[in-house]
Amino acid sequence: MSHSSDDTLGTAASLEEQHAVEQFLYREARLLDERRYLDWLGLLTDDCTYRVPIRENVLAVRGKPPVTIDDELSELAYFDDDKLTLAAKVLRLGTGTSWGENPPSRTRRIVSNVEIAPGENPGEHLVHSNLVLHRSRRVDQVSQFTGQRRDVLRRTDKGLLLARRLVVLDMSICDSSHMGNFF
Amino acid sequence: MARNVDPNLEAEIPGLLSEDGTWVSRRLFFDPELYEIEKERVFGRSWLMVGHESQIPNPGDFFLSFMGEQSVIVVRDNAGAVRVHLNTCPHRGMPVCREDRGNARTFFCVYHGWNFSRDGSLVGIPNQRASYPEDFDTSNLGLIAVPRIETYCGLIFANHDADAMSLEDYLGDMTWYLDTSLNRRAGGVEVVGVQKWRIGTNWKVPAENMIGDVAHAPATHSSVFQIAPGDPAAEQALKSVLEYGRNVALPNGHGGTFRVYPKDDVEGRLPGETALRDVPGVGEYLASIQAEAEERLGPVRKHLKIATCTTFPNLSLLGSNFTFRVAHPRGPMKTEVWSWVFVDCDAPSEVKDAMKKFFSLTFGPGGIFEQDDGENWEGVTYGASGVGASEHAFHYGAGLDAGPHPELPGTVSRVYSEHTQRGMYRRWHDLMLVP
Ligand code: FES
Ligand SMILES: [Fe+2]
Repeated sequence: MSHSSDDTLGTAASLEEQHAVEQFLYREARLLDERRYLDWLGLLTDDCTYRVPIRENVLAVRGKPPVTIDDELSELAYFDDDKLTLAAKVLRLGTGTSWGENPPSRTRRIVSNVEIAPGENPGEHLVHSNLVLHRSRRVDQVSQFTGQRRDVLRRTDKGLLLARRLVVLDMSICDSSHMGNFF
Repeated sequence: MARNVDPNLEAEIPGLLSEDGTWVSRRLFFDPELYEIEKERVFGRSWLMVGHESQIPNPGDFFLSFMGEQSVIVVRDNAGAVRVHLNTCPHRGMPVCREDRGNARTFFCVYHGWNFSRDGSLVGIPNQRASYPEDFDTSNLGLIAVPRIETYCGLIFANHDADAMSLEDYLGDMTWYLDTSLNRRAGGVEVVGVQKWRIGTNWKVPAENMIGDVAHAPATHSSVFQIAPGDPAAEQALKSVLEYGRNVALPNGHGGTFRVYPKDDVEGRLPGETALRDVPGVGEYLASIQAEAEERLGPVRKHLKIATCTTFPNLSLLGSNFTFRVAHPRGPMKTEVWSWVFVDCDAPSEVKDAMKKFFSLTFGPGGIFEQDDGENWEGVTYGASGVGASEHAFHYGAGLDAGPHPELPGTVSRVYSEHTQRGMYRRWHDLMLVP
């Protein structure tokens, strides 16, 4: 997947389209914070893929180019989903017996630094954004996950939909027993 | 290496466990003083799994791992041998390796610049002439080597105790069971990546869960069974747990929960969860290698599958999910789990990919099983430690009728049994009783 170094700045999209993309991301964040997971599923294309790879510590080698984010991404992921497995996860959250999310955690997603570039296919945007996911669980358990989202948004007859998401986390180890929330 | 332990504390160790292991003190799960003793008496003497040989195929390949809380470098030297060095500079203790994995010609200490070869020898000191005499002896200033390293099916085990029994003796019949996951094909297995996460629990909690806590599944994992209502595969799985499940305790604190399928149940004994076998290509692959596996495993073990098992102290393997893990201690109430996916070396790449995906779906902090395990493991650790509560021991009395079995080595019972946990805690206790 292309990354920040091959930026063509956000000039390719019109102001309206930039606005539409940002509104999509804000709305998506609100649906997740409000735990409207079924509505959230409706924002995904049927062929949507969703990955949150593990990020590793990599040393730069003297005389070689600096370490890129892609150099740090493991072949193994915390989330390695398609729409079917995401739907299963959503279904599970609704059972009332997914104890890690019952009582549900209280989340707040802050999405910013939205940049748009043309996607690989017509009608698609490659969208970079930053995410802060703040989470309060049970009585006093607080976690914060931060990362970069690399999304592909596709224009469809249902409006913009999320066709691909790769989340680059900033932590090299998950400091929580539970990553039951979507990024 | 043994430290002096306060005699009052020493005198309390015998009473932490009842004679038959049925009553276990809650202090095992939160007490900082016991934890300090345990670091030496349990983790200083046991064979600890640090990784898999497939992570370091070539000379210079290395990865960072842990033995308990001790950071270690696992590296293949120029002669092709696996070495395990403590990741601490002999000069002032700086970790000489600061990346998760890679290939290194040497390990360079970034504090004062000492440089170490793959086999651990000190090969460079900046300004050596200005600091030390001409004939300065560097031979005792290499990286500290872990004295014992042995392998089984590519799993690398290391032991701080130079006098420890051999790995083969230590594992004993555990390999008879582990073979059913790791030794199915002549080409062996390789591992993919490693998932790491921290849980607010004592390391023994995940270890005792995997050693045969089948009883937790219906309550803890209810949500997973609920999203497949009426699914004949899920119903069959639940039925087979009761009918075919056996818990087995082995010497040295190992044990697990296994399924022994009837001789004519050719389908049931295929490895992997049904949902994984349904992925295009995977079921076909697993069926296609079954003849080879059955030939290798022989008449009894070809009917046997690992559900979950624990090799004492902290290595656990989940058969149907093709993953093993180590629960590294990180303080009395904190554990860092490292989890690897294992795949047959000779499996097609789409099968390997499917296994990776299935692992992330089910286990690890994003997994639909693991999340609720984590919730409970944190809860029991928190719940164990309160004033008043902490004086009341936990009961591990289920399955007192465990005994020998005509075909399976070890002490065997039906699945709703805690005798594998009693075995684990007796082993822990035996080690703790020896200063
Ligand atoms: S601490 Fe490593 S060279 Fe001084
Ligand atoms: Fe579990």
